Amino acid sequence: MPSHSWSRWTRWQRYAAVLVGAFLGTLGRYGLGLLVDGGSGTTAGLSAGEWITAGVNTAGALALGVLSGWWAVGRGPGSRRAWVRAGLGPGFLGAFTTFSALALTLVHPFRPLEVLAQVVVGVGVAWIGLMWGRRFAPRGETA
Amino acid sequence: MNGLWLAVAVGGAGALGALGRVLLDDAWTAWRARRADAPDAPAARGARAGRAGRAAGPAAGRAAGWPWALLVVNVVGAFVLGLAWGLHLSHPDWAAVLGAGFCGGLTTLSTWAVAIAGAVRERRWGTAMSVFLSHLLLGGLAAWAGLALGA
Repeated sequence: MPSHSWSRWTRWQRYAAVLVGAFLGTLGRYGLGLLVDGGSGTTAGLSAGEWITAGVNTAGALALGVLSGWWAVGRGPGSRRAWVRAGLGPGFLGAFTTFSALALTLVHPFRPLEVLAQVVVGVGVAWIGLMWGRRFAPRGETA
Repeated sequence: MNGLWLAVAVGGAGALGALGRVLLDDAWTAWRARRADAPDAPAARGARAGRAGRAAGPAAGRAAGWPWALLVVNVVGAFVLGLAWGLHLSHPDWAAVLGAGFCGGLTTLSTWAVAIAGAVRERRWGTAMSVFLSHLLLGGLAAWAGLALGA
């Protein structure tokens, strides 16, 4: 169904799912960051917290790639329910991954190569996920 | 704030940020759809010509258009996070709620990466490159401007 013909009820379902998913996604990222809170020193130009962000972003990009691949062929969780797609995609994974911290890594201090490497890896795993998801999709929802 | 309430505040701020991101994206999508539905709109003419001229199936990403809403939220979030860092917020809890919470939830990397990967898959190289570069350049510039303004 085209997105602009969603009913009001479907819209509210999606927004509620986004709130719940994003709450959990943000907590997941924040919680993982707390694990290394107070750690000092850098590895390959990134602090421990920045490595957590890099890991979270890579995992999230791969997961959204797979889900988008499934949804593109009408399969997988939420293939028939817009609110499940909204909760999982822009909600949970959207909030789990983050761009703002990466932008700060780019300029504070200026580290273009570290950031470029992360983005290339992120796009690469998203592409792998997308191709894999389209090729190996589970059965769609029947309800 | 004790740990539990801080976690709830961070998660809640992230949820609000993400809702803002989705609302902006919905508004952008709806605006595009209205424009495409108008019979004499250039977008509609282009879409019809595209459908007629392309036999090999529509490209989903092309139909969705260039992801402007995504660029806006990522640049705004980068600016706000830079500002928060530059201001050295007096309480670390506020930095967590505003930074890890709101900015983290508002901005996103996964959708950005999938948008670029999807454009690469459909061999829309111009879109892939412009989405890739615009976020890095404008996001970095916005974070730097926020830092400078807050310092």
